[in-house]
Amino acid sequence: MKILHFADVHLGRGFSGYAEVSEELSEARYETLENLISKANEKQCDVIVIAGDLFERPRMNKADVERVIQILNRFERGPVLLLPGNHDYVTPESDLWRYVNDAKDDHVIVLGEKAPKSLGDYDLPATIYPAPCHSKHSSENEIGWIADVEKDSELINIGIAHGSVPGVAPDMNDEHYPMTQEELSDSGVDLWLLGHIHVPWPDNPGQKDRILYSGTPEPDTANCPHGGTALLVEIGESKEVYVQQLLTGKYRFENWDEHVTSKEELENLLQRAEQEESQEVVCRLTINGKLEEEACKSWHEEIFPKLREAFFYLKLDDSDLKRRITKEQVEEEFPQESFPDRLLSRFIENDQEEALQTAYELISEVQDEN
Amino acid sequence: MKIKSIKLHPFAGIQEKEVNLTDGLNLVLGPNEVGKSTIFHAIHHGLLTSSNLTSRDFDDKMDPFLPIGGDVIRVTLMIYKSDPDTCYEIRKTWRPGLRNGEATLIKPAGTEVNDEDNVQSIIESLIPASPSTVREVMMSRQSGLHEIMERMDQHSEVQQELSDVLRQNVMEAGGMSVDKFREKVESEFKTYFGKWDRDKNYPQKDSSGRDRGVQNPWQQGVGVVLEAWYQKANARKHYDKIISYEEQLDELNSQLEELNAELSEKEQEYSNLSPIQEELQQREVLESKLETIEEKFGRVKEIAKKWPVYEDKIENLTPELEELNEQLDDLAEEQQKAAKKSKIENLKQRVEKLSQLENRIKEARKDLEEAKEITEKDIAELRELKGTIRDLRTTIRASKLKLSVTALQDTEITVSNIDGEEASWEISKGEDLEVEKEGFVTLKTDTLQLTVKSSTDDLESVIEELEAKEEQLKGKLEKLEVKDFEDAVSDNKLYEDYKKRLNQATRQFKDELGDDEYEDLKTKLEEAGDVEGVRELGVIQEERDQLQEKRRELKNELDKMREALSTWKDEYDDDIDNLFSERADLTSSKKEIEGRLEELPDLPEQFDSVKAFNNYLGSLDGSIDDLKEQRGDLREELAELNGGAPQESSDEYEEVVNELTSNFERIKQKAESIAKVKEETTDILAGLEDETYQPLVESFTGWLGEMSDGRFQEVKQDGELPDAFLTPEQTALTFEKLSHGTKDLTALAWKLTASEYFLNDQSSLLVLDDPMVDMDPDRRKQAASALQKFAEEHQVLIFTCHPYYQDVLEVENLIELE
Repeated sequence: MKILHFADVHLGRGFSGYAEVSEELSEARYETLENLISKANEKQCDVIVIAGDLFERPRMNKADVERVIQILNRFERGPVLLLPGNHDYVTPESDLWRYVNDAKDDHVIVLGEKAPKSLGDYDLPATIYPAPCHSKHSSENEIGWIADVEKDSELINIGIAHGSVPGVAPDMNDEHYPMTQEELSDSGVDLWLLGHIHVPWPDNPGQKDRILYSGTPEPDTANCPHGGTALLVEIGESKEVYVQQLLTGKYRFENWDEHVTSKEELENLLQRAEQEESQEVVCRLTINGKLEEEACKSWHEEIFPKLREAFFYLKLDDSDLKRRITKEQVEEEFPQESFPDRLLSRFIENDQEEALQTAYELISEVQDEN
Repeated sequence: MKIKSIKLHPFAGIQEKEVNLTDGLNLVLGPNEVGKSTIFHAIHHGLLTSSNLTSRDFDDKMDPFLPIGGDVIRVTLMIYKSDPDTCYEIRKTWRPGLRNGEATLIKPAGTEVNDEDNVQSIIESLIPASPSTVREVMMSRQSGLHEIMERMDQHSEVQQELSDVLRQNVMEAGGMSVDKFREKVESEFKTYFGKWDRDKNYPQKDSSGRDRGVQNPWQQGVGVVLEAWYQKANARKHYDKIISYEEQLDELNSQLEELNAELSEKEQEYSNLSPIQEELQQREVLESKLETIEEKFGRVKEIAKKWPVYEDKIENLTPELEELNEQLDDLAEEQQKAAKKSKIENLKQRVEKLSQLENRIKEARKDLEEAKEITEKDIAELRELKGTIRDLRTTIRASKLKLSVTALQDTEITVSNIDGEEASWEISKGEDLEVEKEGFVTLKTDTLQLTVKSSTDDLESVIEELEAKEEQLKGKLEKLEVKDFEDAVSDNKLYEDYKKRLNQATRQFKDELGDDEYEDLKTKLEEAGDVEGVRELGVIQEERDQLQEKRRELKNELDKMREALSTWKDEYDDDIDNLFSERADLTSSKKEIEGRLEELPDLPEQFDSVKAFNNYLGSLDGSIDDLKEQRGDLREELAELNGGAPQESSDEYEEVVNELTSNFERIKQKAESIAKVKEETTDILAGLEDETYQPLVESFTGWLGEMSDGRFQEVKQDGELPDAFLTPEQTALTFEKLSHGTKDLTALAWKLTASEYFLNDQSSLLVLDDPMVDMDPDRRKQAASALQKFAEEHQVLIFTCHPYYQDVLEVENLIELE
């Protein structure tokens, strides 16, 4: 049996912090979902498991939901198992899941109840044990019932849950349906397919790994510095498991922390950035260091505009990128005991870098105005 | 600005004259009244006085220069900045009357300007300082140069200008205007900190003290910091709103979930219970009927059982009751007897007690009769006698007797004293014995008795009295039949006791008897006879009570049975068969109802009545309605909440908040750096202001040193003018205290200094009127050398009538007037 397992698509995410590209980032998630479905068809998967947070919010507009469900309906080969996560949790009053139910074909199955679901109707020798979320936060997981259910060991028993696993990723307040590895192992299923954490886990799943996080197929912050992942899980006759990680994302989020001291280093940075892949990278660049006047000018007039072009989107923090201002430089530039000399020297002596930079800039501006 | 030539045509006494000047030192030399001052005034007015004067100004300023008989004053000046070949030509004409003059200026390029105001403003742009400064410093004509000091002191405009020039020198060093920089910093500070309270790190309150946070933000004058803060705070607010929305949503959903669960449970229960309600209703009616029948059946059954029993019992118990009544009568009789018995026993006890008392009296009387009758009086008499005897003996003892005996042969001697106490000794032959006794002693041997008495006169009578008294005492004791006084006392005590006992017994006897007679009582007791065998009153009463209780119970029982029987007989026409037939009827009805009940459903266990069941079903129905209503409310609330649902999830928006927060921190850091620059700028400028006059002092000290041969090398100066001059001995002299010649020298130095500063590196004209007139030859030399030096850079025009100027100065252009 071949499963395409993914989670945390967060459709409907707005990216309001990325003003100019927010729509593109938002839209990319739909594209990725479409690609995932095509991939599932192409890889001849028997079932698709979406382990929560397909949607960003429990309240979505109807047209968006219909668009998503139409994409899911396109999977031709078997059921699409859709688990409500903590972002798109299900309640009896939920409009979101009503829209889903109204729009979906029969083979798209919402796992909204804590009850075993046999896949016998689809000629699959498997029973699904879902742990759907019913609210955004919960300090208790929903998998408790599974251990108590008698299972047919002839079948493949698969648990699907959404939430944190202590030790795998932080859950500060234990409010994301925390499940211990022990609880998961003791529940008596053959395999756990999980969602919630946006980074896949474990790194390189082997035969013995029976608890799998797929990661998000389309990264959404620099906290998931990968290309977007989904898992192709194949379960053999004697329940052996082969897992293959698929790269699925359109955009990558990267944190660049750079220290530069010269124009040359700036140019190196630019060269590194000007790769073809960068056009798909949302980069948060934090750059610091001290530069000579010329390099400084080059940064502002040349390097930075090019960098901005190089990336799909650049978030820049160059507040710690400074002009190198030395005592000798000040002495050379300004007559001794003149006002600029006194002011700048004072800041140099007192090691007040920020004020020194500001003062120098202001002096230059006043000079330029003359 | 320098002058190439000046032409007067006419001006005062000069009809037409042109004077040419060169760069460097020009000397106008001529005796007084040949026109030196006319030339000076022509230059002065040609440059600085408008031709467009009111009549009054003309009269004040120009009238003195009107040629005698003339009605026009005319001056033409050729001036240049640095190149004598590039001149501006200025032509001015003044005429008496209102604005009758005219002015023309021809620029080097040939452009002609005729408008008076324009002409004057062009001239002012060419002269090195303001007209006032030029007039007071560069063209002062006063002969006493030292007056310049006072004049400058009086003309604040000149001072201000000098001050400005100096400041500018200091403040613009470094290719940047400090003032501009300061303005820039101030404006940046404002741009960043507009409406921001740095101390509180919060928006400033408005004038009414209101908070201007995100609820009521400033609209005008918001600085960069506050702008970023508002962005951050608004984002935070929005974030909190999202969180609150999410929490409320969670809460509402969980409430709805709980409610739905409760509702479906209740609905299930209702649908289980409601179908049996009607049958239970029937059951209730039948059960109530059955209950009535069972009640009746039970009664009939009981009557049937009791009827014959009662009849038997009544028959048996009636004699028992009668017997009880008889027993009670007997007891009443016994009770009366028992009541008498107690009185007799009382009497008996009294008589017994009286008899005892009578015996005690008899005994006491007998004792008394048998006792020696020694009265208190006897004892008193005895006591008196004893006392007298003791006294007498004492008297006798007072006279001591010493008896010495010597034995002539072995003998026994007995000695006795007045009290008759004896002592005996065995004395051997030749042995001595000494005896000492009081008043009286008797010595007795086998052979003789010797009595010795004190020979005092009355002792004899005392002894006699003593003997008499002793005889008396002895007689008394004998009479009383006692051995001694102690026995008498003891017998007396006994006697008195018997007497007391007798009295006591007699009194008790009387008390007990009261008003009765002893003999009467005894008779009464004998008459009462025997009450032995009669029981105690209490015992009889107890038995009577028991019997009475028994009789009451028996009577009650009988009454009850009789009443019941009478009722039953009334009810059933005196025939017990009627009762049996009713019992048969009831049994068959009961069976029928029980049969019907078996077909109906049982009341569920948890209810103890159909009523409780109905109540419960009713309340279940009610709470289902309530829950549905609550659900409706929650759904409405949910719809309302969702109506204002934010577009973002909190997780997503948190990133925005974090970014705006760090943006704010960056901006604040930048802003604080501006504040720091501002602070340091202010601090540095305060120091710089102090240093403003330093160059002036240096220059002045330089000129002064040059002219005083080093005598004054230090000057104290805090403002535009020097305060004091220091001699080499460090004496500080104020300007007034300097010698006349030194004052002139100093004033000249000051004038050169001031000019130099006003000229500010420009090369220009300096006019001096007899600068060395009051100096001695030495000082003249020094002044001349300074002037010579100044003229190297500037055009100097000196007016004088003293030919010696020619000797000390290297004049480049001598203009001699005759």
